Amino acid sequence: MSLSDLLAMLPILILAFGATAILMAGAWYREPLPLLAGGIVTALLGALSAGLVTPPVPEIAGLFSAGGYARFYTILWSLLAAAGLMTGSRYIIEKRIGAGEYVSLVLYAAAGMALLSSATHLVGLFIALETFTLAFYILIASNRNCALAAEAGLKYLLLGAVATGFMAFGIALIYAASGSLVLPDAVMRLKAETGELQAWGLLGWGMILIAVGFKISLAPFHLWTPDVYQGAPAPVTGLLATGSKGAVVAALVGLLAMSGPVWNDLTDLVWLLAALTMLAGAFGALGQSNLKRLLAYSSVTHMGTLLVGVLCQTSEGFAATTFYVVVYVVTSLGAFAVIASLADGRGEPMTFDQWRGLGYRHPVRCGVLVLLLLSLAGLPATAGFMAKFAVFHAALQSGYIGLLMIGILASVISFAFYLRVTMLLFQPDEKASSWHQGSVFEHTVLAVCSSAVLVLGLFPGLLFGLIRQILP
Amino acid sequence: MLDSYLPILTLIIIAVGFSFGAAILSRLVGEKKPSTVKLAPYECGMPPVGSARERFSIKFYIIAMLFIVFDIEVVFMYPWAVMFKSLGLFGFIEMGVFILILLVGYAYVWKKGALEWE
Amino acid sequence: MNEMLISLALILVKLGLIFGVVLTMAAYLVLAERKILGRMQLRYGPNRIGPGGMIEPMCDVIKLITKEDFIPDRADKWVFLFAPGLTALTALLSFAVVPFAPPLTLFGREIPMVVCDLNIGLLYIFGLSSLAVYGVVLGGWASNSKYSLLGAMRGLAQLLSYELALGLALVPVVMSAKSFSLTEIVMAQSTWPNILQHPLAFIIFMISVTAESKRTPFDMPEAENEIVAGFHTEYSGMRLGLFFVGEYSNLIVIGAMTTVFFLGGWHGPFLPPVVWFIMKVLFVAFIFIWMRGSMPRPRYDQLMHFGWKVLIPLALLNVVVSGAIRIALN
Repeated sequence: MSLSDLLAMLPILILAFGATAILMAGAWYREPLPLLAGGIVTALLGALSAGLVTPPVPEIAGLFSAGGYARFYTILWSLLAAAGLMTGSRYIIEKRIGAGEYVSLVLYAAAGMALLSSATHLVGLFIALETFTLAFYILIASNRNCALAAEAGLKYLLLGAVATGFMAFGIALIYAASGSLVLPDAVMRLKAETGELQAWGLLGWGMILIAVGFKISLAPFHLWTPDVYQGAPAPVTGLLATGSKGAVVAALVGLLAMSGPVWNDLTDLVWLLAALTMLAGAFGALGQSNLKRLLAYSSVTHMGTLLVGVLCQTSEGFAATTFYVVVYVVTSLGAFAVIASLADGRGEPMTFDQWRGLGYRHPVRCGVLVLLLLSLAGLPATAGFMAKFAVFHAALQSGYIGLLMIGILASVISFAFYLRVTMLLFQPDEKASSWHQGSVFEHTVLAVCSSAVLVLGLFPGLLFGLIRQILP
Repeated sequence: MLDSYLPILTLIIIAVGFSFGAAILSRLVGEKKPSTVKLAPYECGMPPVGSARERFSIKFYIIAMLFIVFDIEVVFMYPWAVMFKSLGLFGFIEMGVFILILLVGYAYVWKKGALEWE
Repeated sequence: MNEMLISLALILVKLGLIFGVVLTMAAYLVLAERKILGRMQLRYGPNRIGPGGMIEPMCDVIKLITKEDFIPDRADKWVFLFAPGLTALTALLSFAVVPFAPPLTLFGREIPMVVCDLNIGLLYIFGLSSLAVYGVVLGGWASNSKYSLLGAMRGLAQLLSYELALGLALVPVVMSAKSFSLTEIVMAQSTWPNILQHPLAFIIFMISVTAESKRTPFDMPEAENEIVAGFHTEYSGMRLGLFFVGEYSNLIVIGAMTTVFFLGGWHGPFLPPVVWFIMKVLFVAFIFIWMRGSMPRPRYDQLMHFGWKVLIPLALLNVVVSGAIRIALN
């Protein structure tokens, strides 16, 4: 590891060393606010260095890329960490959760996600995946007095362990079949003879797909999602729903874009997974009466849609997927930030009974929530519409008409439940109680998320142009 | 290469034979007069109360976890120790960084009270 | 073919010798311990059977074998049956890599005076000493008695904690020998025994090894006056005997390890190497018995604090300092 490698890793190093420093500071000095501020500054510094410092080498130690695509996601996940810390600030102060631990875990998670999105090597992929998953195990169960949180933490831990097992075994099989762990290489050698993946390699890719399925909750591996989302505190759910899934998708896109069409032999399987996931999410959400569970099912649907974009394996599909990831991250984070900002001594507003008529008590935040929900639904003029449109367009061009129809069907169904929440918010209800006012931090995050949704909805070209440049 | 493990294999067979043979022998030769009181767990002559399958202090789990972490780090020092001379100053500095990271974790664990037994 | 038969025969002879010697030594170590402790407490110790109690160990074995060997009805039967064997097994297996003399030339063949000179001998020893935990924990847990459980948990935490310091204490030894093979570690001490080169490592090693052996002053897992006999409260007959075989062979293993790692192995003037080796081993064993006769038992929290807060940082420091000195000398 030379000096230029270290320079190329600067954003990750800033995040990791900052996290460690804050962890140590937190052990001696227990005031939460300075630690939080330190964490936010670290995350922003990480984003800034990823944006400004041009890496002198294209690849770090053969494990991680340092190209534009990697830097793009490093910025995104660093900003996400900053936002996660902002939305979590009130939560950790009120619940008396160790600020040092919370802040450092979020930063470690961001470092892990950034590494994952830039992995070019199966071992790098594995390390990065484990780094942020470990952080999430703890974050989810960080409120030790809450039985639901403990349950959620344990569920995530067990399924995470299963997924890790599949991942490791898949990597081992690919290595056994190809003799290489570097991705483009491994794929080349797998195909060298017949042009088709060898049986072992295919099995390996299948196992990796299952692991990915657990991580980003594709049906039929999605059953943990609602329970974990409900049990985890909203700021953590915000990170879990966005970063942990987005980073995996980003890694997938990065790998596929680098190594060419690997998945030709798996197309049918992925097709089936995507269709199942979109429908399972849409139908699952219909029966929910708890906003966090509903958002969980909504995220399942979105992961299905993302998989459609990945399945195309064209540059247009990858660009659309990347755009979709960014939009989904911003929107979903905002939705959970609204929940977090309303939380008070009673906990977070979750059931529909608690949400009924809240639009009159907290008009601004409920308005933001409606905007975000409509973007999740894919209403024109929001970013969600552009994202969905781009993915479906790519699917159409690649000839996945059937999947396209299923996707549109799922979108139509999902309109029903998003609109139901919207109507619920503005139903007159005398009994609706006031919730917390929200802190400055939380309002900042909401402002950023909602304006991003609007800007990206109206001027998607800004982001698309950038994405086209950086795709590997 | 595998030859050199042949003696170990033989030793394992003999040692297993010895330790389980001795136990089985005593089972064959020894008396057998079981009674309810004799088969009850020993609690200083009192009738046993409750079961021993109970929860024990969380500290033991913490110790076990810390052991895993630190033991793995100790194992990393062995290859370095063997190659100490050829790695030279570079290896020493690298290992210093490694030990520093270890110490950061150690200081954290200590400060957080995971090593306290009161 | 002939060659193979000869080497197989050699292996068997060596194994038979080692087995006989170690088991006999273990049996007589019990007697020696009882006599020495007796003298230290102004008693005679066992002196009835045979001259000076010399036949006592045989009688003990016969007694243990003919005793009733029962399984408490709440015990986890199979685990209860196998745990003591595990303790004895791990102790006996350690002897495979102990070199007790330089290679011997007999009828034109070079015969290494070690059952098996593994190139990872030190790691092998470590592996076995980690496995030794299982006998204690499984035995104590399977008994389903509160005393046993307490003893097992204490034993577990104690063995784990001191294993770290033990591992760290041997890093400087490996550094100076540049090998994991015990034979080469001994060879490297032909001029200076390691105890002079690494005195601090020796002290750390001795303390952790005492804790690993679960002997006084670190005998909390079986502290008689608190938890009856700890993890082997429920055991009787030869199964109890196996725990003792394990404990006393372990004492010899520890003696051999100390000799190999720090006392220069078989090196010594005038006397033949094997004699030196056995003398050194017995000397270490004597120190252990001596400690048992003269040391009080610390509290459990003191034990853990000492292990984690004093011994481990000290051992780490020792590694760094001896590394730095080595670098500076070059």
